[in-house]
Amino acid sequence: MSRAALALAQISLRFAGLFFVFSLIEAPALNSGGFGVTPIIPTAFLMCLNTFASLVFTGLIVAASLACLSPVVFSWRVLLAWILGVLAIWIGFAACFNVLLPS
Amino acid sequence: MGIDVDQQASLEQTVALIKAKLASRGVKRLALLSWWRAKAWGLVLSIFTQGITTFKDVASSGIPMFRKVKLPEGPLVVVANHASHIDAVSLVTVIGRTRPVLVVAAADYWLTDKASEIIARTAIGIWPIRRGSEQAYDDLLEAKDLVLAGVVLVVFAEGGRSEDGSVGDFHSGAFRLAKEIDATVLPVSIIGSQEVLPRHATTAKHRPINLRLAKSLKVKDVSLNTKQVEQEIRSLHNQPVIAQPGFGFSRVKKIAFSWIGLVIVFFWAVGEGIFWPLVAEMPLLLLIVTVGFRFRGAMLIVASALGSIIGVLITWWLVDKGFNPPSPLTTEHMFDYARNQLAQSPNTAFWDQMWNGIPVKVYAHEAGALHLSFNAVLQSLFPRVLRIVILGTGGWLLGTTLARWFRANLGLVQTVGLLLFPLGLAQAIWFWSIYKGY
Repeated sequence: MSRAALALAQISLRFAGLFFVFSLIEAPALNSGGFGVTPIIPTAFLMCLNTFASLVFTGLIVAASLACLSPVVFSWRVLLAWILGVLAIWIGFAACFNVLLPS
Repeated sequence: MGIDVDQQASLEQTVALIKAKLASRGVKRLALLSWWRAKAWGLVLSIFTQGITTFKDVASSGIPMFRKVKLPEGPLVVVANHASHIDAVSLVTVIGRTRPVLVVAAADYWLTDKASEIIARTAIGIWPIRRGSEQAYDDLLEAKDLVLAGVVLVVFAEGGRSEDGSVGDFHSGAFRLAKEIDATVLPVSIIGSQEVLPRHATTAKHRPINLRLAKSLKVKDVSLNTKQVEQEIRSLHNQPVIAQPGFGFSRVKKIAFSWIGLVIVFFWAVGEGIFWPLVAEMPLLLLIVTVGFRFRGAMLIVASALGSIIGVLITWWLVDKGFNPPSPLTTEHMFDYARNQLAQSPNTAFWDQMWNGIPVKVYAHEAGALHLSFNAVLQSLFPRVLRIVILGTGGWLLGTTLARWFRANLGLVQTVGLLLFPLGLAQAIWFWSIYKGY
């Protein structure tokens, strides 16, 4: 594995890990009642953060994945980063849309 | 460097190919590429380091990363010490803003795997040389047409990264080239890069980088000038690393501590209470993160809170007297929701307004339409003041705690914040265009 690929894999994994942990606390925070019955400002803020984090994650993971293609190598870091990142995007946006799409 | 005959042949081909491509590219195109690289690396460095500060001499004040550094005119070879990969991108960031730049790089290091080659060719912009023989100088000499055409060539004269960050012995190739084509040599001492990304490290530490420029010279005697520049760079390298705030931070701090800052915060909040569609805390947060634990922070919060109260009262009074101020970026559902809440309990209404995304001017408007008394409106404004105090104090504490990080890249943080703000605003408007609440 090249130096560049290793560095990208490490950065992607760290970022995806942080993003995942952050996404887990979004729903409890929004539904805690601390922001009233219609917490639109915190939700909009979290949507912006999720969007920003998703863009950064996408850039990092695409670069890390491409770096693993020449020469082709398997990296558990990149695989784990993919899984954590995709889950974080899903959980984070689900928490926000749960508020923004009133039933 | 441990490469076999086949790899060596492939390397020769790649080196020849890169040189041919660079030679065929016009200087204008190289200048454009360098400019983009400078911008992109500036962004990366502003996030992962405390930024680059360039000093023209020992006594001068530094030039922050996002300001242009004036370089000597004409053919120019930059000679620098080398301790980290950050050195190349630092020089590309600073030089690439004003002139096309190529960094001389070892082919046996950068061109042996595809990922490194892509980074070197596209993200940095290298002029490859084959180290270890007279071939290295021949490769360097082949860049002379580009240098004469205006491309700045960066040469790390030690021939590789130092293990411990100290300045090693210089090779004479850059000086021979400069003498041959009568180019100017600009010695640059790079300080702090070893702490940011030492050799063998893969992730960067958040530290400052300083570039100290020595006096440029024309080479008369190659070996004498090589030794002279080596000594000069070594001596500049002993200077302490200075973490200087970035351009954005300095400018914002100046505004925050002037009366202009207080006026902006106050009138923004007044305007938001009447017709202005952007939240009162926006300029407050932008300014308060720079003030540190100083009394000015409290003054900014008070100015914003006072402005907001006055704005709300003006709207309430105007509507009560039959004049309706414009309410851009609001929806009918917002007015209905606010009216229902205010009719039930003005106090609860303003508590809900804290986080529900309905602008305070809507509540002020409906308070006037319902002909609520002055006292009722004034008393119910406590949550409004509380939100400004909470967010303002949060920004104040955050700015003070993360001062080291903000000093280098506040401009970037503000730009990202301002780019994302319309997204948040659109969500609130969209929500209140479909949600009635009752």
